[in-house]
Amino acid sequence: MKERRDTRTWSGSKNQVQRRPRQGFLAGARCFAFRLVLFGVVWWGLAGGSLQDWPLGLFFVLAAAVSSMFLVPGQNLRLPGLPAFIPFFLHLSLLGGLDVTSRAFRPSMPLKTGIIMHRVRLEHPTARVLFVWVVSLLPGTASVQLVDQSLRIHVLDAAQPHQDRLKDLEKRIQALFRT
Amino acid sequence: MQIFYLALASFLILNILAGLWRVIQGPTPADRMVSAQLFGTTGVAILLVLAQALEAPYIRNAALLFALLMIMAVLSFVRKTAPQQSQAGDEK
Amino acid sequence: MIFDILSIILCLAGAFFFLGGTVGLLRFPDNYSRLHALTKADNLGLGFIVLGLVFASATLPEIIKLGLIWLLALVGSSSACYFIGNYIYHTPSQEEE
Repeated sequence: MKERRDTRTWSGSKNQVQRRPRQGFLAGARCFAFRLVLFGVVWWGLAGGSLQDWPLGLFFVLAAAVSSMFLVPGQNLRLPGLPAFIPFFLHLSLLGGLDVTSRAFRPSMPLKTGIIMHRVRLEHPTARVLFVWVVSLLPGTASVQLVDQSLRIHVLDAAQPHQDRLKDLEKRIQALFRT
Repeated sequence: MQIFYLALASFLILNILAGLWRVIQGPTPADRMVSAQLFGTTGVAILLVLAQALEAPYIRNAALLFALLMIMAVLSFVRKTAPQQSQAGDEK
Repeated sequence: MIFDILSIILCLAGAFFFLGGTVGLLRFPDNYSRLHALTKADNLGLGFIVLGLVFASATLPEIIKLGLIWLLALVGSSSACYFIGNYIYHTPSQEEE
């Protein structure tokens, strides 16, 4: 049962995971500063806007930023791509919700389920996980299993042209990452 | 406004009750777990709406916890009951 | 006042999608399809309700908190979909309706 043992690999098989080349000091510092601001905003929101316990907050924000630098090294995200991706994502999840809701409400309940395979060309581990997530929110598709390159997808309506949409999504996710 | 939010919360609770039917009916453990997912998401929505209706912001913390617990529940279910998948501790 | 009306409309839209998810959960014939219904419809419903509450709440930290909760629920629900789908795929179907 070789296949079974590999099913947990979300972000590429083990021999694919390689240490990225060390990033320069400047890039690392920029990444750290960005995370400090990010976790600071998160703390501020979680505390409901009160800055009463700021020493505690400062401690946790620092701890979160430092440990995240060890656990998740720089992601090579291309942040300017995000404003283009978010409306696309919202539009797709709206379509997905409408699609499945209309199928559920219609008395005839038109379902033609099936399984399709999709070859994932994304290399970046985070991009792959993002792809698996977003596929589950696309109209009529839900990702079932990702092994190395092939993603098994369950579809509600096998007659729809899913492949084009998946390719488009892959291209847009690729645009979010620098490779 | 408060009445509206309370009505919305009650409606969402009815959704959870309907989901209970699927838990009882089954037929497979996976179906029951899908209902647990329903409880998670709907529970978050109910708590958020209640926080607004009762003007009690601290209820939002419970909603945050609910969202966390849902994924924990699903993960432990998959880990514990999946057949012949004993690779604990590798990447998720 | 206009924000109140907007909030009511968005919350009603959210409730509609939650209802759709529940109906799908009860009516769809196999467990993959039920998974579809829940993941998509409920996430969208939660999104609309969060948006409705954003219009009702006043301060920026509250909005950030609501956004964080929605993001966490989105990521959680989407991963849960993958894990349960994976589980169904690996479980030999003993009881099928």
